[in-house]
Amino acid sequence: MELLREAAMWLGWVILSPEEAFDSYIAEKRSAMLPVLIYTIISYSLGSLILRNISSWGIMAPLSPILGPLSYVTGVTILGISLVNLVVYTGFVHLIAGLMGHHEGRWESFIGLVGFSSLPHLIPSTLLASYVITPNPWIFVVGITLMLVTFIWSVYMVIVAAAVNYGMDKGRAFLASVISVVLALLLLSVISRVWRW
Amino acid sequence: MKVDRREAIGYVVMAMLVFSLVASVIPVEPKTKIRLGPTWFPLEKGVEFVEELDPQDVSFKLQAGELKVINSDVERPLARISGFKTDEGVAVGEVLLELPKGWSGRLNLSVKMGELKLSGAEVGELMASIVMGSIDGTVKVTRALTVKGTANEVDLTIIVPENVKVVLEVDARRSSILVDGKSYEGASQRLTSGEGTELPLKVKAGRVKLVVIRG
Repeated sequence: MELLREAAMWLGWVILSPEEAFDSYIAEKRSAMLPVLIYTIISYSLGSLILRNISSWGIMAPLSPILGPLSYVTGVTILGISLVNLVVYTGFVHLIAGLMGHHEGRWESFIGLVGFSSLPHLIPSTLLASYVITPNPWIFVVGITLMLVTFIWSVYMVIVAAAVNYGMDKGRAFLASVISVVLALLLLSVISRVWRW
Repeated sequence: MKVDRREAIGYVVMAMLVFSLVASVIPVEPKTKIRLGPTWFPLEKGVEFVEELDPQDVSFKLQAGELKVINSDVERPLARISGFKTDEGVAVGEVLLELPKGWSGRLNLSVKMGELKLSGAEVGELMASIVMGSIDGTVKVTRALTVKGTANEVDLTIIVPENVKVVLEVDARRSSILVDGKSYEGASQRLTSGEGTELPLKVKAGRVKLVVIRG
């Protein structure tokens, strides 16, 4: 019971005041188990629920008998990709922060903080879950639209996480956690295009 | 027991987590019926029916499934549909489009999601578009061909008459073309081959593989 209460306290704290919560999380050297568990649940749910939502459309009806197993496969696939992404992304930002002269942050803590930063995605996830029970098309439309808003919120939380973990100001945290990743992806895309040609 | 604001919000978040997880793991019941337009169709069997089409100007829309075009001994074009068709004339399922041998009419095909297979069909003019899926096979064209599949793959063998000038326009990221024995590689292509009446062939897709031969 105490564990549940403590988990609830952390979740509420991260939502209300991420900077303060992240600071305490690092100071107390908390395990990344809770945030990674949250990240895992949200990744799986979103992957599976998007397919379940789409499956209720007439166009997917011929695939109806296999949609059940397919939704589990999609959920697990999205979860796998998200976990790899979590490790690769946090590792990359950790490297960039180091190159920018910020060596004080721990990678394990950053994994936890990024895990917490997935919390905003719980809003579209809950809406998509409601759609499974009450298939009103508006719930799906609002859920998908909200994904954009919660993505921005989530990115903001990642910037806060990088700032707190590596002791940077938010501008430098934005460079390390967003701009560097965008540049790396652009570079990868150029390299892959050159490679294909 | 006093619950502070952080804790209260935390419990709401937990409830949302559990709700999302439960909704994403509960078994999904396979649908037994599908509603297209005002009618409900049984899904397990589908409906098989034959539709007679216009003798010279055939237009067919497939929402999802497979559309195969062949030549057969029929007197006028007809569609054998295993699936459903809405009141708006959009089909879902497997469709076999049979055209008379030596048919010189106009064929307009639109596929949203699925496969379009041209199995040696003879047409005067062909217009085909696909949103998601592939177009492949062999088609004999006498007047014009336009194929659009923005992000898709097109793999076609096009048979054209001996006495025409092929005007070929390919808009693609990657293309591999063989026209009258000459091969061309690269992205978009614009070329002509042969002498006579112009026969325009326009293909737009992500990846295009074309073989143009005379016959």
